[in-house]
Amino acid sequence: MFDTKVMSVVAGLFLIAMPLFGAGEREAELEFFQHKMEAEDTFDELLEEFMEEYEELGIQVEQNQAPEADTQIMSRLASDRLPEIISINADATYGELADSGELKAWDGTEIAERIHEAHIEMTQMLAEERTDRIYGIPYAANANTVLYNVDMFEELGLDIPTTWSEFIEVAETIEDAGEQPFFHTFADEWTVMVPWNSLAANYEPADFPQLRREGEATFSEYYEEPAEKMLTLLEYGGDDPFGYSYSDGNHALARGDTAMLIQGVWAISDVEAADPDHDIGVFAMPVRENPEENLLVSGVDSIISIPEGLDEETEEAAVQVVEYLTRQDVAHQYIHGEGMFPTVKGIDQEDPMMEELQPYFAEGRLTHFPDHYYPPDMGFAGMVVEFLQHGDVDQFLQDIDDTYDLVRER
Amino acid sequence: MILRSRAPYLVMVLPMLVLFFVFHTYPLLQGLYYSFTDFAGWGDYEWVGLRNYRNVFRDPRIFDAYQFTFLFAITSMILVNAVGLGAAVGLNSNRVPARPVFKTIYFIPYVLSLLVIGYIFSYFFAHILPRLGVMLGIPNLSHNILGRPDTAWIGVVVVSVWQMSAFAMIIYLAGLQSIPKELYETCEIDGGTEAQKFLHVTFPLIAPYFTINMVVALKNSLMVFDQIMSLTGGGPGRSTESVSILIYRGGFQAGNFAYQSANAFILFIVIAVVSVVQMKRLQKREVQL
Amino acid sequence: MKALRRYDWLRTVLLLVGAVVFVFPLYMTVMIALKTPADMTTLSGILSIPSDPQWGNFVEAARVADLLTAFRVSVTVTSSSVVLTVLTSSMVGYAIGRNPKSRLYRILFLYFVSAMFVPFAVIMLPIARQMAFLDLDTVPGLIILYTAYGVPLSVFLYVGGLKSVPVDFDEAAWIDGASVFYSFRKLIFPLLKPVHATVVIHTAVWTWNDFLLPLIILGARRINTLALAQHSFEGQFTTDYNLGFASYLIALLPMIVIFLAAQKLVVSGLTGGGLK
Repeated sequence: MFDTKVMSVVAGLFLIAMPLFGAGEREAELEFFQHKMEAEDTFDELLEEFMEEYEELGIQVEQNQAPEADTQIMSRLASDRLPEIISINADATYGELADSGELKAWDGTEIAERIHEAHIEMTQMLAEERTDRIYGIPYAANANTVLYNVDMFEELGLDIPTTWSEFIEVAETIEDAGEQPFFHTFADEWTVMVPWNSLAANYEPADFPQLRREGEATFSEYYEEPAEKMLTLLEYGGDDPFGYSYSDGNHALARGDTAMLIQGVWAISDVEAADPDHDIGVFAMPVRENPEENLLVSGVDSIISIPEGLDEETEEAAVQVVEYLTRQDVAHQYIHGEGMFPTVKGIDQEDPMMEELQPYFAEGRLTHFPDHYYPPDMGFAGMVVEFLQHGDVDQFLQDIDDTYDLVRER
Repeated sequence: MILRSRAPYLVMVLPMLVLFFVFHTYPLLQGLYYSFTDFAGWGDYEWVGLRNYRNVFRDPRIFDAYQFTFLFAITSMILVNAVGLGAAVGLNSNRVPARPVFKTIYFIPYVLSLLVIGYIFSYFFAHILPRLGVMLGIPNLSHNILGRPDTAWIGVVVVSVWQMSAFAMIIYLAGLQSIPKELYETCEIDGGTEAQKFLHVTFPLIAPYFTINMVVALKNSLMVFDQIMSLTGGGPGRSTESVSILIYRGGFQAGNFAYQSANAFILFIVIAVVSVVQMKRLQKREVQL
Repeated sequence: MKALRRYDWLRTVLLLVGAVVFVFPLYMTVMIALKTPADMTTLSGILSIPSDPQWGNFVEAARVADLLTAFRVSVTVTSSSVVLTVLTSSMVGYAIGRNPKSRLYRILFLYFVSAMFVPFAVIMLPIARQMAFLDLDTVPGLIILYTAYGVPLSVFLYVGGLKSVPVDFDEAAWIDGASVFYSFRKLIFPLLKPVHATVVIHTAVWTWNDFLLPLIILGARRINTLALAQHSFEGQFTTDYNLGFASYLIALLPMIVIFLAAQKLVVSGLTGGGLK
């Protein structure tokens, strides 16, 4: 049965393992915590270049591309283990982080001066209490868009749609030609928010977050139309819209399995990596019937922060990294690598692929991501997925209003 | 009995007692304390009495999580025991060739990580099963079952039963082997069929094993976490969000530390009550049989 | 002919079907781990035996997810937790089991064993904070937690197992002048082998495969166990399934190998000591 041989094997394993105690411990270095799966390679390159260029400072930075970054960063806040450099999406989680008072303020620094004021203001609004100071450096702006297969559009003789009706007509034409118009990837439920944000942003007033917070507006008042349109989009999204993941969608577009993919510009680098030969284009989702009224949803894609209360040397090193990243040439390299738009003054996104989006930026027809102002524990994306499955608009509107009130009460 | 000093026994117990108190009981009490505050996980907090508990009972998200968790746990418990018992009965016959090979195969899942198995099955549900479904012309299987709120829980059950049946089987097998052969012979003399043998001899005699398996399977299933993280992450929507997942996500996210602590305590009470009731009832049954 | 008729074919066929169900996911894992993304376009492409097995996938997966470090962490955690649990819980079980009339020890037994009903989710939030503040959100910290959390079940098993070891044994030793510690160490501890087996197997399987505790204790330190690494590197693996499956296999294989090598022990351990 259980003889001494076995016991000695176990003991042996233990002895072998002893010197490995602390095998997982890491040397003192800066952790660059960042949320973007797509940007992992780009950041690796940039940090590598940083360490080379500033070799004499002896700063070691290691990237941590974190899954479920929101949950992780909040749990690390709770156990007082914030990373030295934090880059997350500028959404309600960032707002909570800013409100916690655990982030270093950047007011009056040279680095903060480098950033467009509009982007700074946009992110300050995410906090509820600490709205007067700058707790993060907006690093890049994105655009919430539709990606499409340029070759297929040419073959079918399609133009970029500029109104909602044209958009649906295009989808019809594609379907009649035996191709798939969209490829929905709602198994990763956050992807449902891409079409939703474009739709909701075009129907809600600009100050809706405050109005809703103060109880002067409800979701039901503004979201009926977006909800109806979500159901319409669902019809063209393939035979298993809830069965595929984000990366499945990127691959499908790259392979030519779908004509369009409702995704933001952040997906472009992934699509191109999957198949560099295909010609991919991007346009703003047309939501209104009057093209001039249509707004492009654009938000701060990544916001970089440093925790309060690091020791002086560490903080200096961390600031040095942020200083480097926000340098014009580096930021330029980043936005081109990731298909983003600048938050740093004095640089532009010149990629011809982004041509369709330029007028929106030039004319300022931009608006923020509606979902960045929904409380994160509302689980909004999940509620939209549920709604798409049962299809009852009234129930959905009722649900989101009720849930919002309940979450706010806690 | 020779009188011995009690000191050595105390020395043996004390270190673990301290360790256990510091790392188990103390955090438990701490969680209880926080559940009466509005602690966000950081910063200042205030005593709020029973407010968190009141809100938990009114929270549809928490209600849904309990509903899913119980639906999942009861289904898993039944299937784990059915599969485990079925396999054990099958393997208990000496009229089966290559029994050791079968036993090995059936038992392997016990040593495998539920998280990793979940990742493997999530690929299977997304990329293999739908193609099989299309090939065989079964419309219900031609899409990813994890993608629909009404079927995703089935995927979670499949993975759990696949992994957890092995343990139940081994316990049942031990039970079956403890039954004396003569009892079957007596039954045969009385003209009993296979079914009667099972009902009147086998089942009553393995009753204690049945109790253990039912209690263990239900308790483990009520705490389900790993396989959900790798299969659905709680989705689609919130359809497979178990109570443990909710406490993990909600408690660390969004400053709901205190609120989810209250939820956790309710889960504690629920599991304790369910386990005790289950054990009492099943043990009563053992006696009656 | 006679031998064939001896077999119960209905049972055998049913068992065979079951075996296919249990083996298929593992078969699929091995097949995918040995292929390239280009092979994966059709069902037969995914499931067929690879003509050109990509052994390099394992190397690449280990590199991408730093599985070598994770492996070392897992071995450290599992082996240390197993040894510490056996040493400490057997002592506690002995002290409790040999004092059945003492109220103190009866209460202690109840205290430890009732903790089995505490779902981990209840202490999850406070323990994550506590370990960080004690600077124990480390590998040794994780081992301490496993040793502590292993107590309820292990003590329960040891107290049960001890009932079959008569007190006369101890007393005989004491008459010869042995101390309690000596009689425990030299006499009782070896006699508890079946219980040790059960405890070792439970603890090993649990600590090797556990995911939630390493997630909340080691997550912030970016230290991975083999199981945790699968989660931490999920992002990389969704874009390259072949590497992902190679990595899954690396996590599963050690347990499979140990199980195959010590199968008899595992099975008898679970059933022998486990049901007293």
